[in-house]
Amino acid sequence: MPIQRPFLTVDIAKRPDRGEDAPPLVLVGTGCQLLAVFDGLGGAGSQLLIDAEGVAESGAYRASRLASREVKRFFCCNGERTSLSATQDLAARLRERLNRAFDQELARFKRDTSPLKGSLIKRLPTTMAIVHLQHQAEQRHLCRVFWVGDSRAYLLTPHEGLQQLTIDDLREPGDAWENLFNDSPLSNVVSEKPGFTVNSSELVIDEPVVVLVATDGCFGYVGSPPQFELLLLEALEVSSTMEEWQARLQEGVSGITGDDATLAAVLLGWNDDFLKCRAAFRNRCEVLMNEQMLITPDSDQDHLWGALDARREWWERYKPTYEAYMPPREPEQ
Amino acid sequence: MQGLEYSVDIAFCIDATGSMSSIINLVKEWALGFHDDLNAALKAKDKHVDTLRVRVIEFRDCYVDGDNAFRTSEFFHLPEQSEAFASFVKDINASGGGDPPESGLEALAIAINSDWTATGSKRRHVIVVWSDTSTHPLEMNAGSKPSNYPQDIPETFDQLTDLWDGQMGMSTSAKRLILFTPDAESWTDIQNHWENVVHYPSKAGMGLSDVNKQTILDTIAQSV
Repeated sequence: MPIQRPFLTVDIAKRPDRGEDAPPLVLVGTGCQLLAVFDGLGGAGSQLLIDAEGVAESGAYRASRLASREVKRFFCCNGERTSLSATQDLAARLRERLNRAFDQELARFKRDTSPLKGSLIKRLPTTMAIVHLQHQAEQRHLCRVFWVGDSRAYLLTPHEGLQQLTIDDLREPGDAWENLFNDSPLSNVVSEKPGFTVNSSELVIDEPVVVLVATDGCFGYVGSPPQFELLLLEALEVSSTMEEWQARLQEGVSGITGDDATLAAVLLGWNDDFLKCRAAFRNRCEVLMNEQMLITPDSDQDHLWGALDARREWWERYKPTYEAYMPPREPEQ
Repeated sequence: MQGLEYSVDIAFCIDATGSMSSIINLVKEWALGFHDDLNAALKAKDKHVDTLRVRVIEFRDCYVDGDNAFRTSEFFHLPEQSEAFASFVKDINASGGGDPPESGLEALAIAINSDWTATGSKRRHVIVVWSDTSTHPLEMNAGSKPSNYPQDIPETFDQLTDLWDGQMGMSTSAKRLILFTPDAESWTDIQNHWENVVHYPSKAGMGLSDVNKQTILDTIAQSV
């Protein structure tokens, strides 16, 4: 059955209507598509900002939505120019636009609504992860990735599984396994403070592939990185339509997360046939399910994800393919 | 829900000089309830406190107060040692100190040098400072410190900054410094230049609204 709309989004707010993640952004243009997620940072940005109408919202809530609005305007207004621009130039221009917009936005709020100061306090902090897909040739796309903070972009393919396209901006950087446990502060966030960087990378991808972006509420509460892929594929395996996959994912992520969580995905290829896509991933899903079954439950900690050592060993086997498309890390200053 | 389990250590630095006498009871009350408030903030994020320890560094002025300049506890395990912790806090009385400034930086150094927990998959190492005044520079009376001067205190503010940046027992991910101190010498520098700091410029936290109190707890509970 042809898919009417090859996109899905997951949008989970721990407090209904008060989610600090902005609703996932999905844009479709001629020959291009854009997916983006934005995670307003509730710790650094939990101060309330009161606008001229007296409406009070947290800085995190406002920042994620402001970034979403600006990203939407940036890519919509720059349509053809985006196609012709170098990815790094786009990243620099996007950073300038966000800088300007955040500066202007701050002027809308009453000054000094909070006396709190210090490096942990930002008025409008958010992460973002954006994938811009540009059709190049039959079954081939230029995939540009832009991100700030620890929101991520991924590819998901039947043979290679889940592959991370971004590097988390953390003060104590580690791999995806270490980052699950380290709980490191972010080293780079979009905010009103100057000095943040919009990271970028690009690669050419071939169909069939699922491309997705997600905030840490989706991938940060699993027992190990492959278990996030398993969560995606188990939801796919029991679905018959794109809408059903979306509903299952919403349910699956809700069941594990302790945070707001957003995700957007697009399915490219399989002649827009969802059942073909599902069939293509069946073997991969079985492989992961078998790995999961091999993990003996840890009787001491009774951990539902399996014993820690077994999960770590699984990660070590999984890591080389998972990191194959990650951009090289910047050398430490 | 998987939830995340945290090992939380908190070190309270409490200015107990005479000028704190009008507010010391409020500070003590807050110190006694702080771990419950933090526990609730972490729980709201599905972060569960597995082990919780608190210690207290009561400080005055090491150049004036002799042996009464510092009184420190080891870490109390909560809830098992709640009574001992409460008893230690209740024994704090505001007295001495002479004129400002006081020995807040020395107290902070003692706190940073605490025996922080290294157990647990996730950790929070939190220092909370309450003071109503500025600090003596660490460089003061270099080479001729009084006999009651504590051991292992950095000789300069830069060294103290390095200690905060690099203390092996406190990881970047885990550490948080909460200052309830005036915009005054050293505290303002710390606010402007140190990582992982929240500063409520005030006399020992007076006038803090519930909203801002919750914001502070959220900054400790969240990763960022």
